[in-house]
Amino acid sequence: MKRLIIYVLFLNLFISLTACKKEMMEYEGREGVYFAVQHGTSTAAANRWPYQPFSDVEFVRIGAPDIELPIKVAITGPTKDYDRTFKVAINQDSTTALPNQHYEPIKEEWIIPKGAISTIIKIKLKRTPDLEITPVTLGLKLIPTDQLSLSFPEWDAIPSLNGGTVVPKFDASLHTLRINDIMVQPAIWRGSIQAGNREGGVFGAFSREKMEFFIANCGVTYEDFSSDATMPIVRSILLSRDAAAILKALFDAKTPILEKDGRLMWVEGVPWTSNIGVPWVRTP
Amino acid sequence: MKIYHYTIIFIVMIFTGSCSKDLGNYDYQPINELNITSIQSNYVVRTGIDTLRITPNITASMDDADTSKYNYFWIIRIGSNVLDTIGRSRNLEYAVRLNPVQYPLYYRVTEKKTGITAIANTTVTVNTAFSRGLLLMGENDQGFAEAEMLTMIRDTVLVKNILSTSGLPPLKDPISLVHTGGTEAYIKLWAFTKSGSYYLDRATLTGTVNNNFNRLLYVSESLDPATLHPVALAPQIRTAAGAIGSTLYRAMITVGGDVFASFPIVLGGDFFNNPINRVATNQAERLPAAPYALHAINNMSSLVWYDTRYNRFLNYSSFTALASSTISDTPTDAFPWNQPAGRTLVYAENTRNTDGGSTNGNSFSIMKDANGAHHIYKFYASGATPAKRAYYAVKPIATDFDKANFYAFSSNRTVVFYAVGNKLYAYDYNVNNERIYQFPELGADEISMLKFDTQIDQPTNSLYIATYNSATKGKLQRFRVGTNPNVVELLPQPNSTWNNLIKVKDVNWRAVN
Repeated sequence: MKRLIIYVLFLNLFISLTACKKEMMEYEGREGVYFAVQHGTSTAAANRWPYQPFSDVEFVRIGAPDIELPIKVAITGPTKDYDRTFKVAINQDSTTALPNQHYEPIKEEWIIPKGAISTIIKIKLKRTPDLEITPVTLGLKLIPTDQLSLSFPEWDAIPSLNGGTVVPKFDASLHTLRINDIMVQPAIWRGSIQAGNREGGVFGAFSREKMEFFIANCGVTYEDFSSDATMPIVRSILLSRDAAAILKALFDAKTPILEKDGRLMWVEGVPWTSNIGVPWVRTP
Repeated sequence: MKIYHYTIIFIVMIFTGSCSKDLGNYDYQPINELNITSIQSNYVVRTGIDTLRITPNITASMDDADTSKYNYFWIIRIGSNVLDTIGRSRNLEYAVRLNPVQYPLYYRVTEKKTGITAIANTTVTVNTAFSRGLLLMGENDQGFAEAEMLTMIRDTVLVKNILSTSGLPPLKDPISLVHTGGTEAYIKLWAFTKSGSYYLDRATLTGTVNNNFNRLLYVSESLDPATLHPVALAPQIRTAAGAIGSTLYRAMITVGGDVFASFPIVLGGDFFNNPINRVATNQAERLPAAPYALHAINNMSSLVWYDTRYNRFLNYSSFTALASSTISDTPTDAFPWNQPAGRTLVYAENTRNTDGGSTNGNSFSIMKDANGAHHIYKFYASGATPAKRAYYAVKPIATDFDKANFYAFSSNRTVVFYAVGNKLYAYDYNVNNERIYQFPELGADEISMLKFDTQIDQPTNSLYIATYNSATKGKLQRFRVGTNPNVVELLPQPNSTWNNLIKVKDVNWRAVN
């Protein structure tokens, strides 16, 4: 009987001790790489942005002629205490961009440094005039190596990352850059078109030429027009006043700035009216 | 074998017991019930002055007054989203620094051991003691700018050390403490000094150096920030209730002589674009303005300012214009807008004088020639073509007129008061009947300010006189100027003498928060 009690006590002790051990689940899956590009809405916190299979590259927002676009590539599996190689190539199936014209040839081999869980690859893109009319795409694909395979050929969106447009399923070994230089009317544009196509408001009708005139002469960027915070009314009025003074001076110097249709560029404060489609006629 | 029997019996008992339904019991233990009383439904306090003290009575069914067993939370709701814990003690003692509105206040007492919580809610109505009264700006004993206020909510109370406790750095060369009045969204309380001008929190009279004019500017030309301290404001408060000469427009002149004009409802706030102290034909040249924003007090639709470079009055006729206009003269005019060589501006002031049909108030200026001769211009700074009303040559009988520290024009009489040290004079400039008066009864103290009331009770047009004595400190008195045209009398007004003040340099009326 005593022996039985001792057995029972030992059994209890064993169970109690083993119960304290925390069971850590080891990673089970591929040791590989995937494109870890996240973007979402400006109102959502960046850590809630969903992973995306594409990136928009809008040169009008960037404002630079050539850029080096950073793209994040992350790993699955444990970190290693040595560098590992992965490869990137052009995915011709989803590419309309032309090498050396829209992008510079990309480096094939990239490194995940030892101890790191991600790295940034850089793609050099060029701003060319044709992008103002026709957008192009540049597809990238990850190539498996002996050290790193492809982590998520079938990516399922993470439910908690919903701070933007969620793509439910995609191949995270592929990433497409949608490149354009097309200028659309920004979120904040304090101009209007009145009866008879006459320009009105503070800025008049939107045109790429007018925006480029503002950017070149008035110390603003296209991005400034993205919100009320960066383009409040008082700044809009200041901008139109500055622009009007320059436009008038150029007009007086007989070098007026014209819109594409030949009419005089208009903002509030210039001493002329402009009607869309009615070209200015130079008086002798 | 018995051990197997015992084991089987034991297992059966466990299984049998596990099937037993827990029916609960009525063997309840009493809990420690808390009851909070002695909290009013509302507390009325003055921000910046009062300390909110609440001593609730808490009775516990099982416990005594051992406060260590409880957590206490005094939580105030600010707006719709902010909850701020303003106290963690049994009794509340909170120095109120809140905007003057009503706030819900929640009291929570939680027993640490059990989590049992008792709740009591109330409201706190925050008023400001500073919403109505006379704003005084001057110097303290050390020569630094200091502000005080004679608050007139119920009784008249002197609030001292406003600037020195405001959070602003020490300032020098005081000019004004002035409330803009006008639309709520655009109201500011400005402390003007030549060493820096800042707007204060209207409820608490506090501020930081970030509350500066530069923050209100959207300009595209290079301006030296050191020159951007406002020293003059238009329009001014024109009634005891706080009405101003225009709710549409605002103008400010800086210590550097730039004139800024705003149309707040169009610009989306109390903001300003590039300065307008320039003429349209030469926009590149900014003309330094004298620190006088001349306008018709009762209705400001335009602004006249003085160009100190070319010695001329210029008119800003529209608050949407980018520049000001010159004003032309004709030889038969009473006086020139464009000064002859050697004539400069000494002083200018807006009044409620309506001579010549100037229903909204004439302005006056004092000019000085190179030979020391002085002149008085009276004009209506209103509209696209300001009107000249009269010219007066200052006669030699005006003792030490050129030495005056201060001038003040009466709205109701042809009289300008001026002070030289501790001497007060009144010069009646009525043509061919000029007279000079002196007022020795005022005493020997240095006069630090003269100012006619054009804000509170303009028909009476009281004269405020501030004096200073290092022993008895500053003194402010209000006088009525007698109406007998044959004499200028100063009639002290009852309950209108205030002592132990700063060395007062300016006084302005504040009517609302």
